[in-house]
Amino acid sequence: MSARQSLDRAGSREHRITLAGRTVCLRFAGEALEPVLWPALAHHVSAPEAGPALELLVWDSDSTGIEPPPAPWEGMGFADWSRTQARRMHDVEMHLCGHGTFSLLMRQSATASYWVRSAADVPPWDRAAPFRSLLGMWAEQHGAMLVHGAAIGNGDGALLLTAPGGSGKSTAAVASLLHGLCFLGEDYVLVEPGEPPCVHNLYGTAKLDDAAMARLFVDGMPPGATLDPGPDPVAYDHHKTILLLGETHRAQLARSLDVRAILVPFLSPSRETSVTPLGAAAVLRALAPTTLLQLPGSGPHSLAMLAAIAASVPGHALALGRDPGAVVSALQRLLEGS
Amino acid sequence: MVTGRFQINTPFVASQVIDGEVILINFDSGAYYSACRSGARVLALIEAGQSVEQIVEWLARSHGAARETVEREIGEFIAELEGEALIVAAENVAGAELPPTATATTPFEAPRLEKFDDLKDILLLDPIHDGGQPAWPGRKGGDPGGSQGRGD
Repeated sequence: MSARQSLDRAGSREHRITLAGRTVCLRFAGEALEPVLWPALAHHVSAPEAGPALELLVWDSDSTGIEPPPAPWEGMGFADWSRTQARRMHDVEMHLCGHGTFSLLMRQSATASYWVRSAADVPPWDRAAPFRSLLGMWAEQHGAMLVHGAAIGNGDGALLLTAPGGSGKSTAAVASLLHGLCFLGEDYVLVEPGEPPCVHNLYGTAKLDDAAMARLFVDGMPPGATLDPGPDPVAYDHHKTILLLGETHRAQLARSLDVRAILVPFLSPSRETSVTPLGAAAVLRALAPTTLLQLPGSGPHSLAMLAAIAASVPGHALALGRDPGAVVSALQRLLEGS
Repeated sequence: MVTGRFQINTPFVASQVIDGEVILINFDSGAYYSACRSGARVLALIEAGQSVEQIVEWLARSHGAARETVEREIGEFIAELEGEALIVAAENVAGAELPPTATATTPFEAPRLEKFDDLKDILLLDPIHDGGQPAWPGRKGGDPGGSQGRGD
């Protein structure tokens, strides 16, 4: 029996959302995974009942009794389910996360599956950015790249901030939101190449470590809703608070904006905020490895798309000082001047 | 001396030219690299299917440089690219026509490869595996949870 047949028999709840202009239909079987994986996407406006560009089936075996997705090809599989691996054969892409989630994309049928043994096994990063692998692989097929970066902006456009973890981009993005700017993402966004490129919001969440929380909020306490990171988040990574911005700041979550510049943030040794021009090659060096090394199915085509994005708008190095207000002011000046 | 033709080690390596700089990503190791100026030129000639001998000859003539010097520097550069698994020996590759040499305006500069491995710890994926024993959940040696799965 196929995964879809199993979900049809067991019953499922459906949500239709629009991502980068295309309808994605998410079907959750059972009641265990929807409260874990839907909140990060719940801010998206419901899409009309048109045929979806992607049908994403979501289930766990423990609560639904539905088996993992069947192997699409005889002889296709992984030798070791404890290691993170990716495989591609014909029109099928698979991503096995060593922490126990499995993602399968069937391109021709525009169907995807996300499976996990138990809802308790969903790692914190999947709760904050669900179906990232699947949506990344699917989006690239349709001309958009999943980018490891933050994006903020206003009615005139957006700034894309890209750098590896620990660079301060998450703090800068949330600070911008708190100072009234639009927010499109803190960790992952979709970007379509173009003149100019266009950045699309994916998730209504932001993950901040304790130091960032202390810098941005009174007593380090978030003012609103947060997402449960799961039963043992420290086992996966150091502790981060997952803010549910789709609930607390929904009006400031922009759907899509034109990219006006790409910024490469880093923590300023002088503790002062400053902006300096950066060439496209340096931007690509910051943008591509941190994105592609985490994205299943990446290859030369992915790098070429990111190069087109990096070459089409100005780039800047952003030295982040200690004062979030000064950072936001610098970002606002960049938007005004773009 | 290194001889023969080479090619970028796809799909394990991706390379891209931007603003005259070549950026390479090794998806196996998580390291990424940058080559500018003469290094970028050599990589472009490699990707165009030129043999090492042709590359040396062309660069020596273009820059008015001693062949022995160019041969040594190019040989070391290609050995480094090979050692980093960025290029592999190519077979059945027909080289494109070499660009015409012009009067040398700059002296020959030894090609350099800059390596960055600060992100190798974020590399989440093991190298892509082909073949091997199938192990689907529920089959012997598969899912640690031990459920009984069924394949098509």
